Amino acid sequence: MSDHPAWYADDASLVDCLRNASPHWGRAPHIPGYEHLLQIQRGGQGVIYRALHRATGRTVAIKVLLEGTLASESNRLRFEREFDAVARLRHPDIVSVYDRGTTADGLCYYAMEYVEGVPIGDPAVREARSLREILALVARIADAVQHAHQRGIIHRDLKPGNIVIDPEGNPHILDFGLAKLVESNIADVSGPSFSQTGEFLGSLAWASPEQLDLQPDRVDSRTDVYSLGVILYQLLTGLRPYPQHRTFREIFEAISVASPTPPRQLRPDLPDDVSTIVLRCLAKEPARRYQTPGDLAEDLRCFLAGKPINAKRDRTGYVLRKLIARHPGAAGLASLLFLMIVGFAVTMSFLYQRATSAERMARQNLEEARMEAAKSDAVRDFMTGMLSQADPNIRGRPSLTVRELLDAATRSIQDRFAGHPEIEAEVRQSIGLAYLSLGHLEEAEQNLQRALDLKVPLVGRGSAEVADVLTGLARVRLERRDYSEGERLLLEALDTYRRELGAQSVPVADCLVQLADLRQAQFRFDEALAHLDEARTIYLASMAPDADPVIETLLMKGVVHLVQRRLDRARDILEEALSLLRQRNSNDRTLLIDVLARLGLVQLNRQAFEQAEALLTEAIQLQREVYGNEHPHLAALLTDRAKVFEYEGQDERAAADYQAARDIGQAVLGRNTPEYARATWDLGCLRWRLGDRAAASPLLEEAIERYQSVYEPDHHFVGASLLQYGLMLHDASDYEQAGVWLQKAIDTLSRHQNADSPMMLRARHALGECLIETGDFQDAESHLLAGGESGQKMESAQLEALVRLYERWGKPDRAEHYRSMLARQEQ
Amino acid sequence: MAVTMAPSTHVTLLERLSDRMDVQAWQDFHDRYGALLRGFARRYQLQPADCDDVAQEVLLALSTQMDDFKYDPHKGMFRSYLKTLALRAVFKRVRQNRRDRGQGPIDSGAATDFQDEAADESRWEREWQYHHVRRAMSRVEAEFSETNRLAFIRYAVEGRNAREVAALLGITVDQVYQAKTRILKRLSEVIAEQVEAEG
Repeated sequence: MSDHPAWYADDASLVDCLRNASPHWGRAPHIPGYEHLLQIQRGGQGVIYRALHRATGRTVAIKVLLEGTLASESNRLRFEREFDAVARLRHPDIVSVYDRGTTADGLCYYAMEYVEGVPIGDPAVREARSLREILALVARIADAVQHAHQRGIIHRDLKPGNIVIDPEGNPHILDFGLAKLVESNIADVSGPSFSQTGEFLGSLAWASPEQLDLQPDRVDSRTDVYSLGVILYQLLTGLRPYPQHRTFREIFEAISVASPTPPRQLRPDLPDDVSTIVLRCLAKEPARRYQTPGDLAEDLRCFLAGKPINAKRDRTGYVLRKLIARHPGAAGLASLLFLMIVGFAVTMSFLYQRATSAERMARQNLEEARMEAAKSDAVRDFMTGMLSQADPNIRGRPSLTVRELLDAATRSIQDRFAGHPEIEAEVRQSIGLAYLSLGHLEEAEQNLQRALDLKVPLVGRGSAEVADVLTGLARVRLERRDYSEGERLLLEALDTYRRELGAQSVPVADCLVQLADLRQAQFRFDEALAHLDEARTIYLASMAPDADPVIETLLMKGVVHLVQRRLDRARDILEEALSLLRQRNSNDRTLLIDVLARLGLVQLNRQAFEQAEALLTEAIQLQREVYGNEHPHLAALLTDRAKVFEYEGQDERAAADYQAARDIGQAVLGRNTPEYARATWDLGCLRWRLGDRAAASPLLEEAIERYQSVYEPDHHFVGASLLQYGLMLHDASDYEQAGVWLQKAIDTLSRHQNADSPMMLRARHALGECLIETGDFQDAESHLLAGGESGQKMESAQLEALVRLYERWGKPDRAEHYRSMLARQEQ
Repeated sequence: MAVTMAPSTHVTLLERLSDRMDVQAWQDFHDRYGALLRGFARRYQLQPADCDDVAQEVLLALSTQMDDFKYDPHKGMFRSYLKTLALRAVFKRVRQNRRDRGQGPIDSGAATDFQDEAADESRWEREWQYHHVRRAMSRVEAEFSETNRLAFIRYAVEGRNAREVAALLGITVDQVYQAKTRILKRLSEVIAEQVEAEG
């Protein structure tokens, strides 16, 4: 009880207490070969002493593990094995371990290099360093970690406390491979122990998501990459990626699920690239991080050297291709800026890649490498200049339209790059691709063709660089539905890539995706699927299963199946894509929107309206968040969802969505766009179905007019909508009007279709029926009999119409003839 | 060895913590009472891993019921409450070990093995003292130079010859004595404060 005489006031009893309070504290353990042990630190795993190694005279640190750790023989053996591996590590920035053994009291210990300094988490470390110094320091640490990884040793517990900075500023990494091993050993035997729990908590803030999942087999090199990311984050911002001192549950959730606060938000002066590098390390899914600490170090050095970083390079080609693949439409200035940046980044990365590979292939040929670098600088300057012209934040300058900006760029190219065909070629290519993605095919083609003409003499027709241009040109052809030329160009590019870069290279896969797109347009679905599978295999060799290009092949496969109306297959594939996207951590939601939209469409077709509505609603929400309220894709999504509402009988919600889609079309895109036309048409159909023909007719007629301007006037889409409208009028017994529109339909359709095509026959028979009602019997007869007079081929509605015609016309024998045919058919 | 737990116990453990229980609080419990509880459990001949379990179990119980004590000014209450929890956990573990060793469930007669209240209290008191010493030592350490600390430990705790210690550290014998006196005095003061503040 506490009424015990004050034991602490008595020296002898106090000393006695001190001797017994902790088995290895107060009384330094006796370790043969070492002397002058001085306790310097106590932690969850044990006590660290500074000591003198008698034989060598060097000062060492000795860590004596707590009683209870390494309790079993097998744990001890594992620890010893790991220790021996770590002992072979020799790197100036990794604290060497020298010796291990057991104290007289039976406690495990190991001796290591003694380093004086402060932990890297000390505010002084961060405050004394500039941004560049911090990045260089972390790159150096990452190098050291890489060194260990290459020897099969993963740290598993990197945290600021385990990295010491000596007075000269050199980093020293402590406890390589051992800290966590000590813990996991205990877990194997008796479950997590108290000390382990304490230690675990100490490291919690630096633990990676896979460590929190407690899946030891998932802990690998990338776990250390994650921890390095946290340390970098902390050095840059002074804070951890997730707020501290919160409850366990919150911390768990933060690390497992939440996105870290982007470091730029905390430190606005941080360059975007640095922020990107940090966030890449902190990706939840290991596959989305740098795959090795060496990759991280390399990217940090890229940034320090002013080169494009890999973290971005990976994605740009994909983003561009994706933009190009999207439906071209007029876009706002913001998206133009985006495009220019993308195009610029792509160019930069291509140039840079080539610069380095050129260097690699012929190290002597520095001149060439320098020229490549100059080229990329020139392109960068040019693009930067363009971007500043278009900056909407600069007051007093009327915002330039897409067209104006690109046109201005095109005009200035010749003067600026006269005598530098290699640079002009790069810029032409970027601009050509930008035009292409905006749907300005002619300008796209001119620029790309010029790029091609410039490049071929420089690098030869059979080079990969030329193949890049060819794929762009192919795309132009495909947009124009010139499939044969598009195919030829794509096949040439594919051939080149295979030869120059290897059959398994990513550009080959990119090209195959384009080819699949073409095959789909040609209704050669099986080939499309085969190309997509091949592309997918190639991507998977170098990318994670949830990388964008891989998911995009799934998306396209889903679409191919949808087009073939293999709806369940399409659903399965798209659901796989969706689940991959949902599991990964990415701020880029454009692909998610695409997948949601397509899956929504599939579910709509499967008449799973509830699911369709949920998917499309999510897509719409994301679309709004990402692109704002005025984007062509939003109009398309709204129209799709309206369709779902119609099926669900929610007519007013359907009408609202259609109207919203029309408004977007009108405000942003102009009326002569497919989005506007489609929304108008669908709204008209809805109104018509609801019996409000006065409102419906103007809408439908306007839609047809829009279709005529958007597509060619005799496009089959126009013919189809004319026919549809005519039939609607016919069904509503407005024979006069129906006759007018059906005649237009026949005129339009006849330009591309045979007189006996199903659509033509449908139109003519309907027109015939209208003409009976208006008394134009002669014409009615010729239309109704179009497609032959053989009764076998006629449908009963047609026979009925003929009976009606001849009765009205006063030709009862003919009427009787068809009546008997009708009777026969009905039997 | 007693229980084998799946690695996911980490998660279970954390899930069992109430949400208002934060990391810092846990760390504090750990730092403050971990060694005390382990040391106490060790006095019942439990294996190190079992001692860890006892400590963990008590801290868990503590973390969920801490509020009950926050406002209770009655001196010694916490100490004795902690003892109750610790004893409960120790007995549970001992019983479990017996069962695992196939000695069958403990009958009422066997249970009396443990019910020596005076012995329990004396063990607890001893560990409680160590607990205070450890806490005080970690506070006091920072206030003295490394040489003084080393002198104190070598001479006072390890019981080495003062002359030898002085030579080793390159200080005078007098300084060794002084180190002992000053550090013990300071420890005593700090422990007195701690005992005073004890809830």
